Amino acid sequence: MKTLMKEGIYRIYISVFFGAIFIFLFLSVVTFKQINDLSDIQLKITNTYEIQQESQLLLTDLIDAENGQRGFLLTRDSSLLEPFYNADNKIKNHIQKLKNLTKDNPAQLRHMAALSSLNNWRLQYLQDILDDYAPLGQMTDYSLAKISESKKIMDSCRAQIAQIRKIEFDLLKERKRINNQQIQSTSIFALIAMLVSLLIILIAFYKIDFDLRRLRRILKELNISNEKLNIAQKAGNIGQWVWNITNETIIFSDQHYKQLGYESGEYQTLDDFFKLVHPEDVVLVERITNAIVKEELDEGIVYRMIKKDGSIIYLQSYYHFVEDENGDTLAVGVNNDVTKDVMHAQDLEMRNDSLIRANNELASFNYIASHDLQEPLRKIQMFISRIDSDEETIIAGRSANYFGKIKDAANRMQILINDLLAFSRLNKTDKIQENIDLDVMLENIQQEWSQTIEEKKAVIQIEELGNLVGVPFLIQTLFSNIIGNSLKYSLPDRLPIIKISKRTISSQEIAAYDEEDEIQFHEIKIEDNGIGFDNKFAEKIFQLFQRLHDKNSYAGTGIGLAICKKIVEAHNGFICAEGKPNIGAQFIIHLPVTSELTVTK
Amino acid sequence: MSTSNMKILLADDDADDRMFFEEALEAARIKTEIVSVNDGMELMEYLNDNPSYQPHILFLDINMPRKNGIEALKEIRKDDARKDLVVAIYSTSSAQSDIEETFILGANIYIKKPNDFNELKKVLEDVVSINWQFHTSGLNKETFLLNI
Repeated sequence: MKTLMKEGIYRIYISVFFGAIFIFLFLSVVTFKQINDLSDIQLKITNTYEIQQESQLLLTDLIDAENGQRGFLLTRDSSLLEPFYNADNKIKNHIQKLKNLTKDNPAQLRHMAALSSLNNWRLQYLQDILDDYAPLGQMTDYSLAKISESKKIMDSCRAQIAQIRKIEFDLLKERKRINNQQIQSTSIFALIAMLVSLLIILIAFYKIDFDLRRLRRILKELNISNEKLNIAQKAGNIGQWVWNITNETIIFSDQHYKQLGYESGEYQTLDDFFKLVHPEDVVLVERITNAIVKEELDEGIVYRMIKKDGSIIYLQSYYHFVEDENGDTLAVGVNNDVTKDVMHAQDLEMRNDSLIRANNELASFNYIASHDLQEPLRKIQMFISRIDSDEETIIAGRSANYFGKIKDAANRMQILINDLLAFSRLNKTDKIQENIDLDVMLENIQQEWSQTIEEKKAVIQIEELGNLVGVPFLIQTLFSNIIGNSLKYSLPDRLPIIKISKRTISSQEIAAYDEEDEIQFHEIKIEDNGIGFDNKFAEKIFQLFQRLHDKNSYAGTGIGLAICKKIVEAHNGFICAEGKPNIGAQFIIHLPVTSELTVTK
Repeated sequence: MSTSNMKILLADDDADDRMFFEEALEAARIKTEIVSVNDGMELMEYLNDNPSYQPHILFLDINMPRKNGIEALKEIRKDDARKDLVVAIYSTSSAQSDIEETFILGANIYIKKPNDFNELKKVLEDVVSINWQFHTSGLNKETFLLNI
């Protein structure tokens, strides 16, 4: 069973489609991840910058606070202490900010904690020096010691900040490197993704375009073959149908309706169709229907349907099975209109019957001729011979003349019956072909006619004839009849001369030959110097019972030459005659060199 | 020709033919005892009623009413007592089918009834002088039909 679409190709299309979608998704996810990583590193770089900036500001504020204290100690101008008093808050602010910024870096946090306690310590020392009040220009030893210590703390602060900045500087360097790397790989990856997408789109476009073109071509071809189908259905008067076995629906073609004399679509269902089946053929159509439903083939059955106008049409169904796109089984079939063939066959059968009857009648006629007609004739002849041989019976005068005529008539009837039998027996003789030595055969025939030849002092001139393929009995009859004919129709005042010659010719030289292929023929001529005949009778002399002379001048039944023609035709040959009154006649026989007999039973 | 009378059985429905037959035997001066029957039925009855009757030759016509010569020939050849009986078919028919059929059924010779009395005389002279043992051993389709 054929399916309407090839499963394999369809599966390949589906897997290619899902493959392409997977590649798209993969590229999208990877690209998103790359871009995400990139923005992450950007944020970290910003964070490093902020930490550097903040630690710079912290250092500045520390220096400002120290400068303010130093200025006050030198000048005792309390306004110079303002940065010192503000510094505490500001520095704490900076430290808090830095702690926030470095909260995910434990090393930095440790530095920050150290810085924070150093700072507190440092601020305490500044406050302690301020509290240890001394006159202008003088420093207590305590203050000097504190100053010296706070310088050390300051140096530690600087060192801590430098450490923080160093770490951040290194981080920045590393992050910039990663950033650069990521920017590069992301752009390469994005490029590849773009290129791959482009490629897939291009392939898809090419494939779609190709399929569309193919579809268009297939549609056109489908159109053409539909047209072909339509014209063929119309010309051949073939109705077509598609029967969906699964859901029991049927679609008939326009020509189907036309066959039955209906308008397209005038009926639609199988039941409607079955109503048109000839009542005597319902069983036949049921048989076909059952076969179709079982998905079996039962084709070539001829059944009758009744057309809309009441006349009968003979149909013959052929079908095969296909599967449609839904998996339903369809029987696709045609109904041939074979009415003419059936009528022709019936006519032929009738003719054959009458031919057989005619042949049988002919056969019984042959039997009558061979038996029933001979029976009384034989009696007549028997009684004649009894009277003839009876010495006591004396027939004299006119009666003797009449008696002679009775004898002649009986003998002529005997010849006629014998000839008729010979003619009808031609069909019954076993026809076994042999290679015949014509020279030997002609010797025998001369022997057969020796009495007449002697009586008429006839001369028979025979060239060397060679061999011939044929049925010996028939060929002998043929030559014997023609020679006998020439001897019979000789002129009383001229010694008969019969000339026989043979040569080989091509079929092209024979007017009567109408076959295509060229073959070789024997041409045998039998020429005499007898009474001849008018050429207008050349055809007629070969017809049964046709005689050109009254039976008183020349005895004959008009059967001999008909027998000759029949024999020659049985050998697929031709015979014709030419004559000139009182000059002579010429018989020309053409026989194929390689003969195959036409059986005329 | 034997000195004793030759026993001849003739089965022919035609009275004229029976007459010609007897006249020809007489004219040929052949000493015979002739028994004539009218058809095949009568022939078989006669043979069955006279089991000791052993004719030298049975002349058997083919075309006879009630039971024809071919049917009679079949019955004779089936009968063990009569299977060596010399049967000469004596018929007007010269049909090849009749000649072949009677040959196959085991007749000894086929004689086509002549059209001339002298010919008939000659045929009978020939037939009664045949050495049947010799004739039958060399019998074939060609020698079966008597050449006149």
